[in-house]
Amino acid sequence: MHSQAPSSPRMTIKRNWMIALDIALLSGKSKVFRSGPLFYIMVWSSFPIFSLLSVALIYRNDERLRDYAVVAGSASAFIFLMIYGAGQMLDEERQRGTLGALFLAPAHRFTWLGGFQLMTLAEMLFSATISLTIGSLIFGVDLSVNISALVVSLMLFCSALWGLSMIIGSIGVAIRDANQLSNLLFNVIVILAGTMIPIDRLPDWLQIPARCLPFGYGMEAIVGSLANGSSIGDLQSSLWPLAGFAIVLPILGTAVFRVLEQRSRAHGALEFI
Amino acid sequence: MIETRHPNYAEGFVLNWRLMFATTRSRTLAYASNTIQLIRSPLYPVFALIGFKLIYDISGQSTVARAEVVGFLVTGLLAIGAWQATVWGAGIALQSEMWSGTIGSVMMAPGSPTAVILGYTFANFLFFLPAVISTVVVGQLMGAEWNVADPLAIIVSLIAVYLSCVCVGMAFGGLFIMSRQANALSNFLQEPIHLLGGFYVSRDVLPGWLQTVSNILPLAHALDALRAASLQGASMRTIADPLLWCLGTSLVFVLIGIWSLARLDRVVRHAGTLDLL
Repeated sequence: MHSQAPSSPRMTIKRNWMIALDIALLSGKSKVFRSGPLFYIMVWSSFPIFSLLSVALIYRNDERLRDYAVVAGSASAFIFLMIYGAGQMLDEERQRGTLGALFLAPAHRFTWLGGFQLMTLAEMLFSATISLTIGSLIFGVDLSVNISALVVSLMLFCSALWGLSMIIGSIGVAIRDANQLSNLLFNVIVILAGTMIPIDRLPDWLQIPARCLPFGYGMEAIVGSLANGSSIGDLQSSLWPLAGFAIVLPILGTAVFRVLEQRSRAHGALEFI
Repeated sequence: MIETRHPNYAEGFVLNWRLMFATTRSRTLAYASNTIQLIRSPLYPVFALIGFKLIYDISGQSTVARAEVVGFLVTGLLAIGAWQATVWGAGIALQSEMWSGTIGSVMMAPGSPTAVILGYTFANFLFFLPAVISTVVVGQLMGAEWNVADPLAIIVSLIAVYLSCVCVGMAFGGLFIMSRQANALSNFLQEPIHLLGGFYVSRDVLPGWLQTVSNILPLAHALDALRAASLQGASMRTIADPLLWCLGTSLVFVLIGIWSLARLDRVVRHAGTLDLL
């Protein structure tokens, strides 16, 4: 009879971290080599780059708005990848027939999910950096970066987006078409996210729903810390609500994912609709 | 011994017509079975219209390229619908058949793959019809101002918008599958063409070299003609120039389509495998 020594919490964390890292690398390799590096970059950077170019060209006579369009347009890569990358991840695994195996694997769910999300995070940063570089070069945007404020803003924003991607991803699996759900949501979110229009310049009837979502606060914080050199103190009005979303949405996302998992066990299936 | 007989031109035409019709019907039914897609189709252009109208309002512009903003955007969105139908219809037609496991039958059947590609394109045009209606209705509610002097010019330029997309679609149908990245190309080609085609932003504000690139697109010229006819009261004579450009560039795409599909057919038959897809 084999006896297994109980592992220490430190060992468990290390093992889970290694699993997550392996999955992130595997997921990255699979994405890049499936379409080739060139097509991969073209697909994931096309939306933020060309969208920001269109909007910045419309704002071309107003330097302040044009710079906003370049920085916020680049940050739209985070939202784009959250919805189309992280949000569709579970459903893509279902389509490949590997989601069941992942649920049954001898690893914690959030370990393999974290691995996939880690890759998406790397993609977000890569795509946003390319978009920002291209936009800044074309329109001659001068960036004034406050590193600490930018890091805090990105951490809070990514945490909120992660929670939201869990909710969207779980619903996507349940309805068996995450891509169409992403398409539907993205059109609405683009208007309310502040990627093309600063939230405080929206009409009142649109500011109300926009202020109930995390995107606008995230955009304000990222634009402030990246383009205007704003400090954490200067960005308090955006960072506090963003921090609230960064706490609440992951809890909500985890809960929705648990419901999905419980229902899949109860029904013996991964599809409910 | 079994004797095979090639169909004559008339029989071939009927065969391909029926194949195109069957493909259109099957794709339309497939779209109709997706509830979210049905909801999304008419909403997408409405959200885009609202979003870009707000952007123009905030930037203080009430006219674009001598046309009123809402009319400019509504016509641009009609072109976007046609373009989306092309990249997501013709562009991934053969790839979809491959995913469905039916590409072998499509390539080896006596009907032409072009008929299948056209079937996908027309199915997408049909699917985008509610989007066209919702765009025009919401545009009207948002105060679109039309200036029509010659209704025939509008009809001809609208036909040019859709036919130019069919021509581009024929080229894409072959080229996309030869690239082995049909889905990636369809995803990539949406946003750049929105910019180059002048759908949301006038082509006049593009840098000179980008304007030259955009001249390759037949849809950009067809849209210029449609905007002139519907927003600036242009006659058939006035829009002759952009229509001729549209015709010339469309023919180039048709030739590319014929070449790429013939090459695809040759390579598949010569290699005796569909692996290249």
